[in-house]
Amino acid sequence: MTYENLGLKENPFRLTPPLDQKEIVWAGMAEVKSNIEKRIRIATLTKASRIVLNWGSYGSGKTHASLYYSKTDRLQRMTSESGVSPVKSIKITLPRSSNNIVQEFFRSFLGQYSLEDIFADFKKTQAEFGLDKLELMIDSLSNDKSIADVLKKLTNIESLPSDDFNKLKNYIHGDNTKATLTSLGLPLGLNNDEQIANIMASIISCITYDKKLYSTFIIWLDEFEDIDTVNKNLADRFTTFLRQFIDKTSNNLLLFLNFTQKTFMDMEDLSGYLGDALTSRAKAKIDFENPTLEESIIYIHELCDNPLFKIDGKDFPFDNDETIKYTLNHIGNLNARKINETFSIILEMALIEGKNKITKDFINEITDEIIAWEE
Amino acid sequence: MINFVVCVHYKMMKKINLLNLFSQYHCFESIYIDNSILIRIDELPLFSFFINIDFDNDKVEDEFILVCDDSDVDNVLDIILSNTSFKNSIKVNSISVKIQTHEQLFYLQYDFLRVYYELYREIPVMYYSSDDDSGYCPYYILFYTYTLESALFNKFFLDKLINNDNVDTQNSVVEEDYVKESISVNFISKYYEVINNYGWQDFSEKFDLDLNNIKILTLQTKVRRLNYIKMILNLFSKSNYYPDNIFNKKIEQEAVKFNNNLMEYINSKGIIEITKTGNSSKPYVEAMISLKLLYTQNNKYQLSKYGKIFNVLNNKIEKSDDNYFDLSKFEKSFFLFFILQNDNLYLWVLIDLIYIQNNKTKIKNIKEVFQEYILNQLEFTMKYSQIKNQDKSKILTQIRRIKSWKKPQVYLEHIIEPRINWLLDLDMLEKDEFQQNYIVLSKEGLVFFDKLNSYFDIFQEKYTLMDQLRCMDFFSLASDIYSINSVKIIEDDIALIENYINESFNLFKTIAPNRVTASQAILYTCFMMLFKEDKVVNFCTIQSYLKSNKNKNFIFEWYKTENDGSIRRKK
Repeated sequence: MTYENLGLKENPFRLTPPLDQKEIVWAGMAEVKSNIEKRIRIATLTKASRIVLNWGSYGSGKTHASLYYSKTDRLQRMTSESGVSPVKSIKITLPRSSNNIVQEFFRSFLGQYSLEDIFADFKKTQAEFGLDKLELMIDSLSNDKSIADVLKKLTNIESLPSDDFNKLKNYIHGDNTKATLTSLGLPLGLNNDEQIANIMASIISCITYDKKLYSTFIIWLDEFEDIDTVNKNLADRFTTFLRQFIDKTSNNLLLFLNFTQKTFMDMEDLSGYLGDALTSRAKAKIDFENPTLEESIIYIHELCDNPLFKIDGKDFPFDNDETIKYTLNHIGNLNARKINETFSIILEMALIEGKNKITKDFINEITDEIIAWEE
Repeated sequence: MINFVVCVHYKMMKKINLLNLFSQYHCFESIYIDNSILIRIDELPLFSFFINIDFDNDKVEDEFILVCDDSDVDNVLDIILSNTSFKNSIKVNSISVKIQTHEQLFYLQYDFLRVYYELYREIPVMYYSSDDDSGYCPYYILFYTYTLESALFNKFFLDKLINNDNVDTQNSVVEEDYVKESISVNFISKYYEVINNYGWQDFSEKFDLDLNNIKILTLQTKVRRLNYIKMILNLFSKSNYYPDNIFNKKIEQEAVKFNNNLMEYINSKGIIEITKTGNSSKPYVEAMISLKLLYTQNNKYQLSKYGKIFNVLNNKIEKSDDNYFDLSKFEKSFFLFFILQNDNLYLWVLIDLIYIQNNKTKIKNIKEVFQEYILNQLEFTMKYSQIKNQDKSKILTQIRRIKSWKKPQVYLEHIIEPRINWLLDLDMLEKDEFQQNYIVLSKEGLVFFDKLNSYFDIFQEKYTLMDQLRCMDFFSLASDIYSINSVKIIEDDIALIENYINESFNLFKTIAPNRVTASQAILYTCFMMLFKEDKVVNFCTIQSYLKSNKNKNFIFEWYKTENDGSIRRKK
């Protein structure tokens, strides 16, 4: 069974992110897209670091946006259009299962931007500025003698594979056994929150220096609202760490914080968690508003018409927009996830029933199958 | 030898006494059902007495059952008393008293408890029972049931129960008036109107009850004046937050300004004074955190989302010029709302106990029975509440903890004194009596008592229903308690309500765009409607309006886990 009868190669309404990066597509939500890209463009052209808060309800597309702007080639196209150096963009989900939340965050960071990549980028920076200048950079940007020593150790490695590199890797991942420390000639392990802030800040500052290698380093911190599910001490510790990290990375960092607009026991929303130091730096907010009826129809059209899903020369699977409107009017508050869930089921049912056009009558037959359906 | 005689004599006395006792009244019914004799007497038509019996001799028992089955016997009592072999062989095991529910006469059971308490200084344990074993139980055949020690049950007790209406002082006349008058006209009556059309389960389902667990605030005995809570909330109109190392001292400095007012107030206990360590204000801060009016984060104190509502409303609603420690009607209603949210067990229990102790008691007397009564109430909840099993296991932990109290008199000082003083500040107690060390429910207190227990009578849930009550009827309740001259809302008032919701977008603005926390917007609207517009609208009413498709202007989302939601304006 295939979606061919409906004019589609595949069901375009996905409930989970695709494995293949090529399948991450953007549909509808033009305003949000333009707002995000404005922010990114400004960041690539100006120096100051910024925080952007992405607000939206469950399923409004925040995670999707962070995937789209960290996994696809969209950023590459943007930067080559405007003739600036590339952007490094990574997505990290707020760690919440660990007792050492900062260490866990750092590990996720390294998971997305590995020490091998960092090594390679440092080599490129070295080629650009020379070793002496790079070491000076490290000294002045790290604010911390022992972190500077660690990074200099990294720059002193000639090439990979290397024993020292492996030891350094262990060290950075939290190995503080005496043998490792002695052989690296480092006094202490990397287990203090401020040092982690320092090392991350130094790495980012070096590789974006003068916007040569990268114009901007983007971090999408997803599911930040879960900060209320970790215990109070850890939450305090993480926000303090985040403040330090931002303070220390004063240039070329763009931090997107994804906030689901849920409510909390004590406070109205997450504003309280950020504290004054972070909110005053949060220059921009992007509102992932619930789409209107018209916007939702555009979204459905754009998704079904995307060449990734549409079979050339075939028709749209719905008989007319009235059918779509009728469905959307019966599923309560609209958001991307709910639209995906609903239309995914509709297409699946049409496939099972062997339909080649989806009509209002057909929708009425299958309302029991549609979870969000409201009379 | 002598002992033996005494023993026999006692046994004889017991059984004959109890049965003879009823023969002195006019029984309009005495029938035999399943090992029990059901007796109802003219003087107490809504009470049924069940005397559980056995026979020493199987043969006599068979004969007795035969007699009962044989003809249309409607007076078993006469048959037993006139038959020597029955009389000699019968054994009385226990006696229970059943009081019918849902006749809008729930206070009969409290009258019964009062009489019992007056005679024996104890409060018997309550059960439910039904005449119908089929599982389907209509509301009107559910009974409040008390199993009593048969030895305690005597003519004196019965007479007192019968004459209860007349024996009391002025107090009871006043009580009766409030209790009866309020029942006929207030929001409770809407439930009684429909109740008889439903079976028990159906009725609960109709309202889709959302039951909460039992909640208890941990307090320190010093936390007695609600007015200090008001004062501390007001401090946040000067600064958004206070670092934790200076907050307690800041409060103490502020409190000193009001010392004179406190001295003129009816009770000056709970005073906050200047200390080196900030210890004097600390218990209040802790109480406010438990009441969820404040929270701490990153070593500083901030107003919670609820605390902010108070400050916003406080600027909008006129204050009285009375003593700072006399709370306005708005302030009393506001604090009552949050006390009931976070402390749904002890306050209700205290009100019950004051009433049972003939509505004139002393803290000492309350303390005598408190521990046992609380345990009974918790066990009652375990047994009959429809809450989830996991919530029940929490109650079980609570029961274990209370049972293991090593120094109840010390703990009780931290439980009872603060709450009794809160009741005083909330105007629920007679102030003159309080000055004489008597605890007496005022008119406001009696209305509160009446509404709480009517609710219990209707829904068969007590403390576990508090959140539901707060949602469905709190503003009706507050209006009744504090005699606020208000009317119910009508369809046209929706415009007013939407207007207040719109206002809340500015009043409760945060960095989140186009969004307001639902609880803030709705509570703000409810309080403004009551205190500015003299109209009663309840939280649930606004909530269901926002959920409905009549609402065209707002996007409303509600999250059950946080028990709150958000409101956004439509584009």
